[in-house]
Amino acid sequence: MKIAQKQNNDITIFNIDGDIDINSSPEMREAFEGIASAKTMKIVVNLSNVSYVDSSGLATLVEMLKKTRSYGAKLRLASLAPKVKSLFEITKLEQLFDIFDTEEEASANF
Amino acid sequence: MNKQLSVASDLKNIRHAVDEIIIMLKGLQVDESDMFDIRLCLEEALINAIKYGNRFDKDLEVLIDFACVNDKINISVEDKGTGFDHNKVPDPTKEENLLMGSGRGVFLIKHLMDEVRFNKKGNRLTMVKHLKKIKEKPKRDQ
Repeated sequence: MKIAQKQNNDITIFNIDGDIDINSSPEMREAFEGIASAKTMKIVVNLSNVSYVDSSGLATLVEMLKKTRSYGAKLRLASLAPKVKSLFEITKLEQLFDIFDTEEEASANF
Repeated sequence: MNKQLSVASDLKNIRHAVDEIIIMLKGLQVDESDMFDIRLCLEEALINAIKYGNRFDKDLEVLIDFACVNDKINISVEDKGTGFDHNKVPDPTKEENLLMGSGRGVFLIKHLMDEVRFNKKGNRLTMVKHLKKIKEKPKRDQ
């Protein structure tokens, strides 16, 4: 898994490249710790290069959301592949997360 | 087509076992969407078998039985544990459970596979996927 971060004004874009599964989700959690400990208020997680997520990946994304909510920040997901998006729908996690088709749309009107 | 695999109970072994199954599915020219579902369900079943069934005991194996019969993929995953009651797994889609850290594996298996059965003891899971399409081998000229 490759993780990259960039700034778009006051929005942190968290780019994930690769599968988010039982073996790689701890790495994502650890990388996100830095963003959360800096109390970053606006975060977009770009999943355009993620074609596979398992239940531990979903759990880690939920943890990330809970963490950002704990200090009043907002986290949005962008560019989910159709099968990945379907997992959010099946598990009703689309009720929990703000999900956008593109990074640009996610970054607008925070 | 049939294959049996055994996996020592270490989460790092899951990838290799699943890759072997994926190779067979690719040989059968299984639709990408079905491939995703089967891969995910197999991984979830293996994670549960290793984590909850065999409790990460590397001396205990998880057995995988794979069969392709007509247009159905049958996969069984069996651990050496005492079993569990899958009906007692909380529904992760209930509002009070949405923020749960874990507990979605069995739910995903039940929703992505067409048939799901547990043995009485609860340590053997059988999953069946009715494939959308298997590309037939070209007929030889006569």
